Amino acid sequence: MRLKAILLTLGLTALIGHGIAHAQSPAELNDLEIAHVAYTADNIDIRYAHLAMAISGNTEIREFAATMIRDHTAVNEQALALLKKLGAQPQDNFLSQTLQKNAEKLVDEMSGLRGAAFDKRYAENELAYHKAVNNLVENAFIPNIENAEVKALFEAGLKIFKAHEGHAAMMVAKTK
Amino acid sequence: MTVRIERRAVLSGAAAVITVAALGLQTGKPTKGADRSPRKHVVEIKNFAFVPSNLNVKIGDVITWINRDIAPHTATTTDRSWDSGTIKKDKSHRVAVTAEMAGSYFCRFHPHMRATLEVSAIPH
Repeated sequence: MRLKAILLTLGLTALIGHGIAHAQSPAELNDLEIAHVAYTADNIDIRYAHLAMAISGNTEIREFAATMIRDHTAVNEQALALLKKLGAQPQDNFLSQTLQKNAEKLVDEMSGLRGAAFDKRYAENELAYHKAVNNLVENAFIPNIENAEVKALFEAGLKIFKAHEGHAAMMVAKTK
Repeated sequence: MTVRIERRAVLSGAAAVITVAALGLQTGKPTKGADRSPRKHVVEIKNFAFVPSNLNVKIGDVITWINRDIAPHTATTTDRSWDSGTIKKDKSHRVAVTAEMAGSYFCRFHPHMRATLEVSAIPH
């Protein structure tokens, strides 16, 4: 997926219509900004999962959501441990903020759904979200990360999130 | 130089013997009475896969699952009659093989991760 398509999927259309300025391009973020985006994206998915645990009565959806909480928490713990070891702090940036704003809207939307309608929307969003973030990580972040340990963590994380993408596709098929 | 190489070879050989003995690995050479003692097997969980994905064991053998991934995993029979519980990163779970463990198993957290245990009914 090309960067433009990734941004479209993530709802970052403002960056496309006006061209991507140097300071506003995902590919231009430094390691600490990238770490902040990843941490934010992890926490957003954990938030979606908690919403699913609160609303859904579907056992498979609930098990999937529990896995999202478990795995993204594990990745965040590894990321924080690495940042501590490096003596670094993640840096907030435009992309983290945009992801957060988009997530607020989606949580509002999904909060109004119940039953099968919620399960379907949650599963579809999980598939689209993982697909988009995975492409961002694979094509915009990993090639540009400078620190070898941070890069290795992102490569390990990508394997997990690709597994989630496949799992989410199974959930979408089951909630159709 | 020659002495050094010989020493290294001797040390290397000794280390290999110790490693094989410590891990209980099979060397391919049957030893007297070896069939009577339970064997040890290791299944690594890495990159969201059980390695090896197919294992031949006997009742009484001991299997250790080691998780090399960041994400926690389980080893669980398809009918959920036995379950390793959560195995976190770099942690392991060891269990003695019973007849009930025969067949396919999976990770409860990541259902696409599947593997098989072929359990011989003849105990050691």
